[in-house]
Amino acid sequence: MKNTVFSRSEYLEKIKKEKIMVRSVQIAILVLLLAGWEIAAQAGMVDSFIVSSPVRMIKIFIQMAGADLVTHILYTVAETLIGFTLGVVMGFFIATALWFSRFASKVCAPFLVVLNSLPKIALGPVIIVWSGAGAGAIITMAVAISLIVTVMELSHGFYSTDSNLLTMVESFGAGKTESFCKIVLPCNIPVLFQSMKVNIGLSLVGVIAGEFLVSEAGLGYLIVYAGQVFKMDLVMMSVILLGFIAFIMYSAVSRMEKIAVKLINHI
Amino acid sequence: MENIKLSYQTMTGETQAIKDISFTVEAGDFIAIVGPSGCGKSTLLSCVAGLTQPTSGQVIINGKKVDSINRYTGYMMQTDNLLPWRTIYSNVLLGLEIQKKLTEENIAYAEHLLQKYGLWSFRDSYPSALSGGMRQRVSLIRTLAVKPDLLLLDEAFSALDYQTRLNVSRDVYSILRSEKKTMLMVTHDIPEAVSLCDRVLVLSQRPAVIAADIRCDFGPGRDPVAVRNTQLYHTYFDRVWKEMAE
Repeated sequence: MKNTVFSRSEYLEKIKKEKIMVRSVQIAILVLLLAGWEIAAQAGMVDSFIVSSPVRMIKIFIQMAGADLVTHILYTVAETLIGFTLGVVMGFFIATALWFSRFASKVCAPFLVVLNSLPKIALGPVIIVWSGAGAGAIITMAVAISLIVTVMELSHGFYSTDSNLLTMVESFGAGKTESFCKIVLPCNIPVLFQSMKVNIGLSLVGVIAGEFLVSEAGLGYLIVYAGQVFKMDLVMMSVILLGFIAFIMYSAVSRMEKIAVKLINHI
Repeated sequence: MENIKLSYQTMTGETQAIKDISFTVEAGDFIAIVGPSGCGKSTLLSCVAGLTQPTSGQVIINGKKVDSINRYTGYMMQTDNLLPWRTIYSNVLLGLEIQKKLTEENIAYAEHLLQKYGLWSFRDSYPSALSGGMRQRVSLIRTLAVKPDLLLLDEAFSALDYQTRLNVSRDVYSILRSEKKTMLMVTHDIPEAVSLCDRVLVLSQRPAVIAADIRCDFGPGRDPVAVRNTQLYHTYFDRVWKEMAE
């Protein structure tokens, strides 16, 4: 690429142009995909009973929107947010405890690795027995999936805090609590948000997995139900809705991250 | 008046970093420790700060044995370690905050230092807006705000570019002189050691002992940058250089 010196207005113009280009291509890809899907379904190239089609999904969406779709969405979103919040808060406290005790951290390390690689969904039946068949089990599932990752990521972040900064506050006589509040915590705000971005997705996975197993409402329930009665339009529509929900929640966390990082670094 | 004595020996694990080092620093002295890299200069300094415990031997400041972080010393590192989320003003008050000494008098002293050394107008800025030299000065004021008697500088200027380095070392020199502080610095830069300090201690290769103790006397009112052109400076430089080479 050629390096050219731009004037301020040219430079801004160029950035704006690029942004518009990226967005237009993204929209074009989406439109092409949907159109291709619809055409293929209409022309009988694919079996629209099995893969559905955009128009069929819109139809079922309108039909369901009049019924109880909103309730299902709210259930899933609420469960995800509760699971996410619990996962982050508990993960934060555990990681903090592990920072305060290097001994505990070393003891826990192999257990965390095993728990992290373990497919938590396999615990599903156990969780149902423990917390009963209902929202409790679903939220537990979401926490089980997101908690260990949070602990590992935050703990790693805490331990990787710039040692020069820690030495500096120690030289003023700061104890562990003060070092944590004044240095470790603010330094790790970006790490916290990074793990929240991963977590919000994982919580949704946990909730859907939970809803597959036990539930009377939620998008996971809707997918299982529709699959059983071969309403593939409803399955596909729910999956796409899930995609939207995941995207919106991720964007929200990402937006918060940008604000927080700006507040921390003042650049 | 304070009377700082320091005797010290250490053996770090299997490698004996410092064999046997004893020296005394008088109040108001500026002393530099130079030596080959890896000879334990920085460890020596962190022992004085109480951040590290020597394997054997002891550090005595103002008649008291140093066994933990102490209030007599201020410690400065290569990096300025300013916290990006705090303004210059609240960065400067960090030490006082940690030591729970945010009294009106101490705050006034910190503000006075900011004013005196030309950083008052930046008090509400964040560190990212300041140049490297200014940041290092803020870092010095943060250290001075807790009123230490003895300043420990661990390669404090080596992250700065050459010109800034000269300016900042001159600033630090005059600030510490006018605040009547005692300074113990570790550096690998012989010109810096000779031009700033009254005494230069040369450490030997590991296991380190003091190979030479060279007094650098330029008379009163020295300017650490201007002395670099004097004949005396070259004489001292050569002596330190020869001692290090041996």
